Amino acid sequence: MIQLHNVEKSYGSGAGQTWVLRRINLEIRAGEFVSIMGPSGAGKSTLLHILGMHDSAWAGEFNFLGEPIHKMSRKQVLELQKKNIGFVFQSYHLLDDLTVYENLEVPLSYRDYKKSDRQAIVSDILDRFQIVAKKDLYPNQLSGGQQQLVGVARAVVASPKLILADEPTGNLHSDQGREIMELFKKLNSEGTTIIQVTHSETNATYGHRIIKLRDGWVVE
Amino acid sequence: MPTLWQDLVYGARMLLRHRGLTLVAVLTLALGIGANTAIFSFINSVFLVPLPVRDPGRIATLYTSDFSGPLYGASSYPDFEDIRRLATAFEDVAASRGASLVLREGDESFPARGEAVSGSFFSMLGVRAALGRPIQEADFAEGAAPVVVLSDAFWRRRFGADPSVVGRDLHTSNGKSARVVGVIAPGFAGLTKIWRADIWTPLARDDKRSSRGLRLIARLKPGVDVVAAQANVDVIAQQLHDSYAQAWSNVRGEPRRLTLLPEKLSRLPPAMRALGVRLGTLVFGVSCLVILIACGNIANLLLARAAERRREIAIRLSMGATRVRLVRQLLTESVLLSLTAGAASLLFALWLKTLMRTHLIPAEMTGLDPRLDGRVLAFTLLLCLVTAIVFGLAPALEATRPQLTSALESGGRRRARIRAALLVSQVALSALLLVGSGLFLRSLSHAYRIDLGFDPQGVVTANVDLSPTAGGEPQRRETHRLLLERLRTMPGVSSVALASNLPLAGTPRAGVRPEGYAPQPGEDMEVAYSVVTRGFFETMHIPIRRGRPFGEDDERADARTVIVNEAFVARYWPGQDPIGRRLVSGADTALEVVGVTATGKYRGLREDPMPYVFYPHAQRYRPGMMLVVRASSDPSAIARTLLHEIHAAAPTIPRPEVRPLLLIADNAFYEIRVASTMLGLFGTVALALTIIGLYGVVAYGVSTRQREIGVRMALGAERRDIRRMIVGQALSVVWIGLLIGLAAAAGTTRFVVHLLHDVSPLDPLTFIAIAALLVAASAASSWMPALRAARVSPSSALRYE
Repeated sequence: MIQLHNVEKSYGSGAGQTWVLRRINLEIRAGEFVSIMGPSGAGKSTLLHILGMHDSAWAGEFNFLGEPIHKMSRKQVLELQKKNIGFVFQSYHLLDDLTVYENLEVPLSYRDYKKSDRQAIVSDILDRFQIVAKKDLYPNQLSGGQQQLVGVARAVVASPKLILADEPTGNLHSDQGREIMELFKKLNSEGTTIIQVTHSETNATYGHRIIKLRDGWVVE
Repeated sequence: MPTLWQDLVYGARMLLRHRGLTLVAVLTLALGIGANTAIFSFINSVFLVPLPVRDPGRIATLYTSDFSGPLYGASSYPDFEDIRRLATAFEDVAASRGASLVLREGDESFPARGEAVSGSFFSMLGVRAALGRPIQEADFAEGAAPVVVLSDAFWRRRFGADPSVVGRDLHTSNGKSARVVGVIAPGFAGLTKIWRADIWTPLARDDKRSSRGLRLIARLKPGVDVVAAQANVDVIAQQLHDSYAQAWSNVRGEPRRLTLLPEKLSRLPPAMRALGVRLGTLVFGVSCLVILIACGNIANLLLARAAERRREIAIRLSMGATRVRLVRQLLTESVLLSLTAGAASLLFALWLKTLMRTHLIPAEMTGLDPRLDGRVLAFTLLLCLVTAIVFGLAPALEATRPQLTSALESGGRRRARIRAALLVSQVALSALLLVGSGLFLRSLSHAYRIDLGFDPQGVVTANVDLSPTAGGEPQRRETHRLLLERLRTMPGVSSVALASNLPLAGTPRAGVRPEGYAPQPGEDMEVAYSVVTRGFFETMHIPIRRGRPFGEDDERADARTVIVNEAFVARYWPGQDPIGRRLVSGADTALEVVGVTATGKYRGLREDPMPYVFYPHAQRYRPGMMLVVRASSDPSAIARTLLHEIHAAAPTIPRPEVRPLLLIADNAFYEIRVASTMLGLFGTVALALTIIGLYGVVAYGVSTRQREIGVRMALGAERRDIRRMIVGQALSVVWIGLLIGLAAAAGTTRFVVHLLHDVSPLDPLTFIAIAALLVAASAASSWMPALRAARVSPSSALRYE
């Protein structure tokens, strides 16, 4: 599904370059559950944003589902991203002024789904994640665990092939964290590829393999 | 007190620290406060400052109702004497009438606007002379030498404040002279706020009771109010009617009335006062709306700063500061901001006042010179304090909400709601103002398309008044004739004529008796007229519908001809051929109608078709005439030659002013032009303020929503989705404000319907155009922040989790 070849990212800073990622070469197959680990500043989140196609300022080659991202226009990349990738954030990043239902509807509205289709899909997701009763609540009326549950539901609502999760349990206590990780495991077992950034060794055990980063280099 | 001082010092430091915000706020407020100050200075000068006389509260003006009905007419000399003798409510009654002179010093002639006054005029008003003495009863004694008293301004302007002018003889251009006996103390320049008198002379006695040209002014006895005095003059009016039934009856045979107006209501002529009140209320109301919009902008800026000061306020609250204390501190900052703006606004007010004086007030209204006096400055100060509370209170209350520290997110949403509400108000006020501007601009454009019945384009005028010249009527007739003859052959002149009165520049009336017409009982048979020479209709481009214009034959003194307009024919000879019919005017023998002109506008744009009569100058000679000249090319090019020819024909008359007829005709558009200009100006300022406010709110919103925008982009939003969202959200607020504003406009524009011309107060085109303008301007102003929002990088926005 993903092949990175010599991917590098740096910032110009004063006299020289500050390297964030160096010569990243890796392959992730469809259906894998991969954890990216490493100390703070190792480049984990940067790598995740490159994989999520939010960041286009990098060098090297990046193939996604056989498509050469490094050669594609911004618009083509965006289409590919919208079609295939869902995102889960550490701080949930639900939109404060929207209800749970509306938060789940947002990704579909950006994918030009018709209203009737959106209603059907969101109802199905609410049901699958057992949050029907919460659909009219605002994020600040939910616990952290419930918010992240909605965050995951929002990531999968458009049926992506790949979910990228940046420290998805970082703000949750252990029970809630476990529930979210179980959810990821279940999604993975249903065929969704998952790449998570985590500091937690326990969370990493849910995945098939770990990619370790240090100072921008893949070390393992 | 020490804490207030602390607040002041801290407030000043905050303003200096946030120089950018302070500058924007001060400039915005200065604009609003300055506009209000300038307009208030006019209102103050015309309506609030009393005449500089002793105890003005006891001064009242006395009007005799007009023959045709209106209440506020002039009085006759015999009436003045009778009223003065009979009235018990007054300490004294004085009289004055306009009596301008042309003075002559060496070879130079110069006009002096004068008033002829009765003997007790100055003593009754309590106006003193700074030099010499005022006019007094002794100046009316048999054989008393003619005297004149100068105004302070005239004395300074014409005589360089030379004290030796007292005792000197001033010569008029017709060879008479009068001795200067005094200079009136500074400040007093006559009885109205519009025209300044330069000189005063003794009022000549006129025993004709029908000759009504006097303004009567009375001083109430102590303890007598206007109501009681009115009851007294009502009785006098009845007595005068009983004694002089014909002179004291109006056109309907009813007794004439005497009406007393206190000084504060008679500083302007009553008709002009009504116009002033209408325009003053409109323009002041509009400037208040502008300042409210400005307050909305400042409140929004302060709300944004309140969010940035959460930490400071939280610390102060945790240290035990009460909310009242903090609100006071924040309001002190607002007041300081407002006072700084107030000081800056005075410069703007001075500029705007001069601009308005130059462009909106007719030049002949020399008395209207508003000053930034103590009352105006007090008004500005009050306005500063009020605006400080209006724009400062909501942000101060919001910033000091105790739960702020524990509920930042909900606080942010509440602030966003307040900001949106402020914006809705601003848009609503702007819409209201812009609809008003639109209606007036459309009115003005309609007014300019009205057929005036003559074409002022390319015509210049000059006042050629031969009254001050030596010699009698035959010489003056000859001078007028020679002048016209010379001008007709002048290069660049297409045609030329003289007229006693020009349309839209004041029209006298005189009684007529059209042959074969039987007036109804009480029917007003006075008809407006002008005395004109041959060439008048050609020069003015007044169409002759039937018959002929005046020709050389009509210049014989024994010719008895007249020209009427179509409205005259329609009223007195409907369906009949008017050519050859006769009418009698005054004591004249019958005059034969030789022509019929199209009906034009004579007094104002709104008048119904009005009968009008043109008499030949040769038959009704008068020395004071307006010269009208149609230029064959550029009218301004002939002005110099025109003046030369006038001077050559009549060297002793003062150099007249050559004015385009367009300028005179423009007087008819005065009210609508002032309203359109002021509303257009304020509407533009309001729109600009609203656009700036909207831009600020949207830009601030974008800056605080980086994370949300990043999330949306991470969830698949494209740049166009973000742009659409930002502009769409801005427009949703604008729409709400717009609907409220349009509804308010629909409810209030009917109050200015009397000022509109041929435009419905609910004119759909104006409402739609203003809605489109506001929406387009709002979309444009939110587009820049929307572009910035669309450039947010999701990876940057979400990096710092």
